[in-house]
Amino acid sequence: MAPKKNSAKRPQPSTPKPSAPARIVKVQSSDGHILQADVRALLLSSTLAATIKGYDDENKPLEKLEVNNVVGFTLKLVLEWCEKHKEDDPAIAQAEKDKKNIFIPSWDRHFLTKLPMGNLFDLITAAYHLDITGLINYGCKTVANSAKGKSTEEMRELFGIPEPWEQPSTSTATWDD
Amino acid sequence: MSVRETEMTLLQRLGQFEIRNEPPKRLFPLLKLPRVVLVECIENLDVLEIIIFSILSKRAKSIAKFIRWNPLEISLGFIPFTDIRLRSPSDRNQHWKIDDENIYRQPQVPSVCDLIRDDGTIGSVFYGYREKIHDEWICKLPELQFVHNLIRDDGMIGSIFYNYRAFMFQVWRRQV
Repeated sequence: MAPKKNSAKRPQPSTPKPSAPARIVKVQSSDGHILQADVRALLLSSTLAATIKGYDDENKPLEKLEVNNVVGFTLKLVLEWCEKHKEDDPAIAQAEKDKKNIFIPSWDRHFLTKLPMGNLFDLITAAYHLDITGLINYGCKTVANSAKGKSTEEMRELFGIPEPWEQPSTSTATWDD
Repeated sequence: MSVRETEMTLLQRLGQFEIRNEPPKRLFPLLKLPRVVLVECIENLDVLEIIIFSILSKRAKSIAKFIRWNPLEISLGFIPFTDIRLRSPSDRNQHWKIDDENIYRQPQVPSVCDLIRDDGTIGSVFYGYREKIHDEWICKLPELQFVHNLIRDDGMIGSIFYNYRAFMFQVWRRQV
């Protein structure tokens, strides 16, 4: 069968490669939950990759990584996404960062659209703190897709932005908006 | 397998901790995202969705100013009927039109028609003589802000205004 056109432009789904045995480390969330993850998956996070590199450079045993700004439920989702993408070429995510039209692979689309919007928010925020470019790309695109075709009122409701007259007008206002 | 099922499977497999089940949260507090991520989200919207976002609040407006986007092309046609179209320069197939073929037939009577996008109505259109619009509308619609002038070969023929509730479009005929 002839290969599809433009297939090189789209990120290819992860395919397991024969490689060295997985190096498993523990990851502790801000609320004390401890998860296990493959180091290759954790390397998708620039923040965690720098920490791991620091341990390796000093030849210190890496027993547990602490992620202080992500709760257990969200960290679980992050690690699930990283586990799925641990074989991906990091250059793909970087290249997609500047593209206007990001293509979301089917697994990621299913993974992200099934999440309640509040959990998606936590996931994107965690991806930002952990600096996971690919997850940020797909998350932002998913948010934009959820706003497509929405009216002003629907967008207000989705994004939790009150009407102007519902917002405090004094200088001591506490609305984030 | 759903995210929840995957999670539960892994939880059972690991068997070493419990993660509380969080109630599903329907809201996505977009404006609470870090600025870099927020701008990236908005950049993925199309041009009129960015306009809608920008009128949601003052902060949304200030964020929309950071977005790299191409403004709409506004075209006017007069033959055989008056025809006003908004077109996205990045996608030539995407366009919107003012859905009122009688827009110039009774220019002295301020009227309202809807601004229609391919997938639905997004706002209202107000037109008539400029003086008339000042008399009739500005007092009713405070916080009206000027956006753009429409220029024809023979001079200025109209202006676009908006407030925080709706995108509005105003056209008047040049006095002879």
